[in-house]
Amino acid sequence: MRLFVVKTGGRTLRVRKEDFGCAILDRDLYVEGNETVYKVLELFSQGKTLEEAIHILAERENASPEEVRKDVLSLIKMFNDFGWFCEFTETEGE
Amino acid sequence: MKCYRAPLYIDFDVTLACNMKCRHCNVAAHKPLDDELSLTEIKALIDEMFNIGVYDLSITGGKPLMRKDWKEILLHTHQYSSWRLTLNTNGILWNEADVAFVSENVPHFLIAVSFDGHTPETYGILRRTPAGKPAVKEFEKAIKTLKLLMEYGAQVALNYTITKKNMEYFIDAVRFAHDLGVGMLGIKFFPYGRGQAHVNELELDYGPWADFLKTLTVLKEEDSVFGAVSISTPCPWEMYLPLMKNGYSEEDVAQIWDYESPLMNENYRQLRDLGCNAGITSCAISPDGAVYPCGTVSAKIPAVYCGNIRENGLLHVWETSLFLKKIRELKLSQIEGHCQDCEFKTLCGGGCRARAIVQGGTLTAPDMLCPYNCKEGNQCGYL
Repeated sequence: MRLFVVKTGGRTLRVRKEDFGCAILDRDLYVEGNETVYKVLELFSQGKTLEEAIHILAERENASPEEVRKDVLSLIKMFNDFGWFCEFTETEGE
Repeated sequence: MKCYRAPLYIDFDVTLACNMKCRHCNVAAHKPLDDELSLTEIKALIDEMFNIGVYDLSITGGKPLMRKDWKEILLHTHQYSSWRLTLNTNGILWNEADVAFVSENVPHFLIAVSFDGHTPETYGILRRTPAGKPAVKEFEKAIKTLKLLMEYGAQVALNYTITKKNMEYFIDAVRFAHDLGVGMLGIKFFPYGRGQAHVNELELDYGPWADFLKTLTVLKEEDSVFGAVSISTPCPWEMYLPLMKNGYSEEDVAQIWDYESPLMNENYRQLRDLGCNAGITSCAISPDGAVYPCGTVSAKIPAVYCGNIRENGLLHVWETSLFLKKIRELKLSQIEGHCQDCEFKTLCGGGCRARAIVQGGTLTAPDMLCPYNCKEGNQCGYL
């Protein structure tokens, strides 16, 4: 079972690998994400900063950091709607 | 595997012991099983459930408070964050120390109190003492517990099983719950266990159910008293059919009732075309560790037995059970009855498979409560 934990703003999320991507489990919130969401969250769980995550993903995908940054920031924006990773938009994402 | 990699939703009956003998009880609870899981086994199972990514766990029964170790079970479960926890209870066995315990030590548990009537008389329609008498005195005890739970700041909700016998009192019960400041979940009756013995008396035919749901939907739209009421049905058509036949859209159903068929989820739809999520995202565990695909039939039914967590754990059952494999391979095209040409098939996906097994004897039998099926042979004429 591939499952990891990622902490954000005092909350602990469990992220479980699924064939479609991942299931994200908060205390009162259940969200499904695709493979990209899984990869981003996995990097956050390893303690990577937003910038580090963007660079790692750009390297892995052989894409430009600007393109990846755009995608990741749009993901972060979606996470913010759930109250997750607001720390990134308050600092690095500005 | 045509399912999620582990269950997300689990109903866990920690005992079949119960201080009551209610007429609708789907597990015919009263006496405990001879071989119920020990506290050590339960703790290990809870650890496993958390570690494989279970999201929503209901501790139920029987009555969990009939176990001497119920507080330890709750404490062990509550040590983990990031899952949704519910304790089902009839509220009768509680004293003030118990209430203080849950509110202080396990505050994230939702305490769901079974309350199928707002007066002693209506409560006693389904709620019965071990002698089979209406549980009139027990009503006062349950009310006392409910008020204490609220006074202590516990998260509380009421569960009301909706049957033919008590349906007419539901609206008054919602007003009663509103006055107390708690939400109400109406659970549509499923005929299994003791409920199966009373099926003719309790089962809701489509017509009365449809009228009831329409009335309640209008009230929910127009009257804030009904804002905190929600409905749980065994399968999707029971929500969609009565409402969509009366001008509501599937979006309306989602907006008003916060209800969506599993088939609305694209990821789920990649796995199957049936609306029954038993064994796909959910399962139930009996007090002896037996795993069943669905909480409506979580008693000793050999036909739907999936395995036992005592052998190699829950995930092993989830991944290797032959019966779960059979359920997961089931396709809408195999379901008998009128599903193939039904206009609601992409939302409903074949009706309730538990009802098919219980009443039709096979996984592919038609869901005979559905009006498209029961109109056959003029059994009903609602559509």
